[in-house]
Amino acid sequence: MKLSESFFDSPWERKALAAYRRFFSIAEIEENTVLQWVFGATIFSYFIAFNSWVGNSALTIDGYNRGAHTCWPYFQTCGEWLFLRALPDGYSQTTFYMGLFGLLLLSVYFIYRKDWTLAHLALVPAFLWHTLGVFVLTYQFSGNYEYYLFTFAFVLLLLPHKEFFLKLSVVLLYFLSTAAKMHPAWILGTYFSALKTGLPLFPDWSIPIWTNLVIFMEMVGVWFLLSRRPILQRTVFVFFVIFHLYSGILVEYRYPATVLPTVLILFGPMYRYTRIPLDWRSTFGFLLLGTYLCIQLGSHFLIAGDEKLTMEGNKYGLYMFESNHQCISDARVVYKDGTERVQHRESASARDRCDPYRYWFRIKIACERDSRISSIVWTFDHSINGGPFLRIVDVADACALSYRAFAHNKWIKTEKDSPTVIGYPVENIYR
Amino acid sequence: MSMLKDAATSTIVALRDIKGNSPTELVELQRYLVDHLQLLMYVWWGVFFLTLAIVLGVLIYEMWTSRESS
Repeated sequence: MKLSESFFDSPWERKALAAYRRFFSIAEIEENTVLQWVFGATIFSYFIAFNSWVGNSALTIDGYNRGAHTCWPYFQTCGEWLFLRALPDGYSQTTFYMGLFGLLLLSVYFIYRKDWTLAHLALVPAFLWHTLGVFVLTYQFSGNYEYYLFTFAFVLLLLPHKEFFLKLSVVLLYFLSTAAKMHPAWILGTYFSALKTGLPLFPDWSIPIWTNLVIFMEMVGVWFLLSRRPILQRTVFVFFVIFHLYSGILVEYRYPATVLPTVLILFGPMYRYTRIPLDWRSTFGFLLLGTYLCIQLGSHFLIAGDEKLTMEGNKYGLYMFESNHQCISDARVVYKDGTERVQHRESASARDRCDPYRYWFRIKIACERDSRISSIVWTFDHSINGGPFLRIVDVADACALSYRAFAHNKWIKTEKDSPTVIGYPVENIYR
Repeated sequence: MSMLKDAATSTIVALRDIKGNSPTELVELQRYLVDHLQLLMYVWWGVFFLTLAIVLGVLIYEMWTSRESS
């Protein structure tokens, strides 16, 4: 007798358990070694994700009180929903994450006992909290590796035809990432030539060759990961394994540790061709991936301006390595008593997205919370891929601004508004 | 390291003849590609949508053939 059957032994509990198993297609996991391995990889990914969340104040009430939080543009009051307290302010956050740690361990134990229903049940809280953290409660945990983890867990835990849609989602995410790469950053390779350290391991003259090869492989080659032909499938698989190991030279462990295990399990030695499921239950999977496609392209084509410059809609969809950023923000705070204070912030880190929204969000908090402030004169200069610093924001009172989540904000200048060239950057760093 | 070089004194100004928004330093291949950037963008978007169309075509074909065989 399975553990779950001994836990849920009354007739109605058995019925609920059967409905749960049916609704989440748990039999698929029980019968499929590949899915069982992906289940383990997903637990591993949650450990890694929460390892970086547990000490972070992004989801704490103290972060909100200090005005250090940032919300998604579509939910700008997220701070009012935060409830945890992290060290040194309190114990609730670490207690909460240790609770999740225990549930993840429990899930591993249920796998050991081969009770996939309980293993599934124990993983659901981690999935829900991760989803809330990434898409609702803060803007600060929106790294693309979190999108990957969300997608893998969503398919694995909720959808039918899990193996097929896991494979298709990996391939589609690579494919969609090329929509973010169709930019001088990758077509010319200026992301890397603008870096002081250049492209890792390869000479500068070869940068455009490698960047265009990556675009080609992620756009076209990746579909052959699903091929029936072993040589073709294996060749593409080896390319992506090398690609992830190589990219780790820059991005370090987090991204490859989230994506590579699942890629190895789905497309490595255990790979077998999976037929396209065409029953009504496959609608949910196709709907999910169709939504991804619409969001990725919608943010690109529907919001005016180069999103790499304005950053509007940039995080709706994949945006990894989309551009090399540098920025300078100057906010002159004018108080009601006539005094002034200048806040100067700058970033030379290629990976710091220099999102005017994020800077504006801080200004907005200051305006709302400090009644002594009369106005804030604000300029924001943004350089991408070693290009000139363009003054994309130049406003007399940032306190009077609002930010639209799904449309262009006129106070942010696009490249077509001929923003003033402020100067030219020196080569920058990746950090 | 100073992050901002004044445009008037910067050695980078020497590269401004390469289509204005030039990166800090361009390698030779980039100098060639930058002249065809717009075309390259169209080509890559073309490949993107062509690939997408082929994938959707395969999907529809599979649906069609499975319906006929059932």
